[in-house]
Amino acid sequence: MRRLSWFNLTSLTLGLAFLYLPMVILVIYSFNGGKLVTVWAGFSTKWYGALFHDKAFLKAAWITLKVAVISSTVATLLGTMAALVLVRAGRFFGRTLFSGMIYAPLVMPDVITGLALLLLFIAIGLDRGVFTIILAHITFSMCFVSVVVASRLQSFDRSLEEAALDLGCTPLDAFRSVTLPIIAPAVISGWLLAFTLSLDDLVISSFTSGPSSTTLPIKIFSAVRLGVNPEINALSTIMIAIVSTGVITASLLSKRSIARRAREEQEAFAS
Amino acid sequence: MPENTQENTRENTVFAPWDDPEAAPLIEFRNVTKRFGTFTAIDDLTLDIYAREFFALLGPSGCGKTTIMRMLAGFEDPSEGEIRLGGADLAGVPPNRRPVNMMFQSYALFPHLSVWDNIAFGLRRSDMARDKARIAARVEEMLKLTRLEKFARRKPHQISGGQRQRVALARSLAKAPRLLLLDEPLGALDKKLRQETQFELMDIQERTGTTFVIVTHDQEEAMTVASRVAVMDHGKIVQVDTPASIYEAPNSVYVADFIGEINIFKGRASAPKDGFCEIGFAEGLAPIRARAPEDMQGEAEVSFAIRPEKVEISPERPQARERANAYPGKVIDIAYLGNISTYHVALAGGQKVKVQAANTRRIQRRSITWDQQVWISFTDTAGVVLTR
Amino acid sequence: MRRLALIALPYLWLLVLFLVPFLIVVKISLSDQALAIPPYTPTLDLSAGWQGIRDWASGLDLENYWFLTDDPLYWKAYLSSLRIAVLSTLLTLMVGYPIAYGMARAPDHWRPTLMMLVILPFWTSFLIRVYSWKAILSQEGLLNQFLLWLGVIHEPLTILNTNTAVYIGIVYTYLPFMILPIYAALEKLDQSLLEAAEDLGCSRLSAFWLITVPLSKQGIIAGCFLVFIPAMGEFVIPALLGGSRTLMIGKVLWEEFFSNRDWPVASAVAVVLLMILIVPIILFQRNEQRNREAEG
Repeated sequence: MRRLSWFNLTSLTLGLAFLYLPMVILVIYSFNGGKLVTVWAGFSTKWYGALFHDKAFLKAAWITLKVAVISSTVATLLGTMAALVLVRAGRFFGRTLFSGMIYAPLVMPDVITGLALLLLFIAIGLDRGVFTIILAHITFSMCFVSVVVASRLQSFDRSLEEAALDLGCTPLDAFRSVTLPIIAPAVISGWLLAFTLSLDDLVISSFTSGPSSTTLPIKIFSAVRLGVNPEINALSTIMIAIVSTGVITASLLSKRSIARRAREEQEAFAS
Repeated sequence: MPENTQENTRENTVFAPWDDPEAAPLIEFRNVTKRFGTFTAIDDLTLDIYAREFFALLGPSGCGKTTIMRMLAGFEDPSEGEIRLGGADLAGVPPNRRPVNMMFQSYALFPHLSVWDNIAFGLRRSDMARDKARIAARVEEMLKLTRLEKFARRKPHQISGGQRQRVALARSLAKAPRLLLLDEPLGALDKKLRQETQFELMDIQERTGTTFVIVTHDQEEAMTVASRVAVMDHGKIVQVDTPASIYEAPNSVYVADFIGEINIFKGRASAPKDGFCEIGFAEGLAPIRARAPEDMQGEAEVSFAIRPEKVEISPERPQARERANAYPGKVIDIAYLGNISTYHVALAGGQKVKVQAANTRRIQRRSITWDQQVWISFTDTAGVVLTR
Repeated sequence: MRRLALIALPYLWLLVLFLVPFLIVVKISLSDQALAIPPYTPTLDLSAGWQGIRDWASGLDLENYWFLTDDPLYWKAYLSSLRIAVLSTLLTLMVGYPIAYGMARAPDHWRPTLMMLVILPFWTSFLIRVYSWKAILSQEGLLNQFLLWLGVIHEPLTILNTNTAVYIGIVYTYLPFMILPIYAALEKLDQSLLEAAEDLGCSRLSAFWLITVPLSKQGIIAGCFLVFIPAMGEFVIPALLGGSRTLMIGKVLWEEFFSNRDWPVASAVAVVLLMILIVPIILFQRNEQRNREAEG
């Protein structure tokens, strides 16, 4: 059994403290009674109350959720198709361009993507609003989905599909009954990734939104640009809580299923 | 046959420092115990290994043989007892200060360095660190020794498994260590390459005069290469001896069973008379007459062990005078292996006996076939009586 | 037929919504500014046939690019972005490597938890994570309160709205991008290589420099690109944590577009930024490709 040296233990502790302390402070101060964020004035949940009465925030939250659900679902579909093309389609005309267009948005600065999409929407005379935000979000998040799914597809054992064909499946049938269930975890994490990217996006949304389609990040950004805002602290705490519950539950579930699988394999060997 | 000449030279130069009370061992384990938590990996081990030996540690996985090697290399410290190298205690000497080098099971070749730089790696950290010309000469010498001259510039992933094995050997030999440790050195090679490489290893060991300690779970490999073999079980050494003695005179059922194939008859031995005893092993069958072990007194529960090739098989009952022990049985299985055939014979009491016979003529023993009634027989000195 | 449909759908989507927009950006960066909405001329009039295309082409020039070189604001902003991106990449490496190393050396049963702890911030809102530093770094913020209480300083330090705050923000938000590829490389490192180096006479420290660092090189390179490329075009961090004197090109582009409404110049700024980033992006993808091949 390896033990951690004091050096490794220190760097891990300091590193995790650095990653988590700011968020912990944010959460603590969301329960601060006073308006000044840096002075503790007793425990209170009044900012949560204020948040739920703020119509503009609620509307922005609703738009953001709508955009995220639709865009991540479409992006997962298109992204999975793109992953299949990347891994399976072999050679075709413009393949290099295609893989370039998949990988480039991953590292493209948001300001450039946002500007480019806006100019496109203006050029084709599309009114800016929820629809244009959704189009923009699908475009960048489908690339993330396809990278996640492609890496799973790469390690996929083709002989499983061949076995399905051998046993009488049509290619589509084989894909649906064998390939899809096996790559499903990657497709799901691709969807989750697309969903959080969409929830989180400020810059591209700012470029592609119209006056009536303000999303939550745009709202947050204009509220905090000038200073600290206790209502935003409350909102952040809610978002952090939702995300951490989701991520921790997902990882516990996958850990459980891995453990169960290991146990079952062990039992199978023992019997 | 080159193999035979090699075998002969080994036999002719009588190399047996372990029989010489004057000889000073290179490595001494003195009551060494190694525990990991509550698990005892090595249990009170005392062992001498002599210079120029090719010493094999043989045992199933988890028997502690790798722990012995890692203690010699300096990656583990004994919990109790001491290990001496050339008379000096090794305790507290870090791996990088020991005149001991190791060839890792995974080879552990540095993937970012060429073959040449891998071999030079240790030299650059030795007393010849500043002498570029000497390093180069030594590396070339090692490349030549392992026939790798053509691959010096390649990276480890650009050469074959057998070549990688030779690079690992060259790298660990380059610093001319007083002791070379080889952890399952041929484990990753296929069978044919393994056999070739075994002779190559022996050849290199003799030419460099280095002391080799090899860890293996393959008894054939240990028997082929080693001057002495230590058979291990659960952290203890069961027997240390030359391959021939281990094969012909195992000291326990464990060793007998581990090395090669063997038939075991469990039974009760009568008190020895004139150095022989009689072992009753089945109702209604005559007892086995066999030479009694020297330390046996009175009756005892024993195991009689006999190698398949020391048992004769014949369709008729053999002459009683030549073969003290003869039993009727039925052939239940025959395995034809080309040079030899193995017969599985069931005796009247249900005991199954393996018999091996050399196929020295093209059509031999045609007469013996499945389900045939046969006789098996062996002399009274062909097997050993084991009391543990 | 099915294969064609499979390829065509994502392909067309990306062509229309990714490639074409960039061509429009390039085109507009070559056009003149006009006050009309959309604020650029000329538009391509295809109904005028060949003549229309000729008119359109003759209307293009490099004027907006000359403007960028004329005004020191722009090249200073590029240089300053470059400096901030390079420095913060190095800082992130210095902070991230020990963490990745500690993770790789941790007992096996800790690793999934550590991994999750590093990934979790990545899932929480980027905007919120940047914002959380505002309360810490301000004049009356928690860091100043803490340092005053310790007695290390007597006057509160001005950190928020300076470049220092931008460095902290970049290191903080991009840290997981640095840790994960390095951890992936270190985790694969065969422990027996380090033992072999020690066996051949290396001390622990020199084994680290000679074996561990070269063999985690791919992870270091990937991590540096993953931090450098987005940091170069970063907008949120300088907007929230930087001051009025923090010059970063992402911020300049944003202001050019939303405040000055000078779309051709904003487009030219974007094209030049893309030119600067194209080399690291290609290098990054080549590095990734090599990693994939090495694994395959």
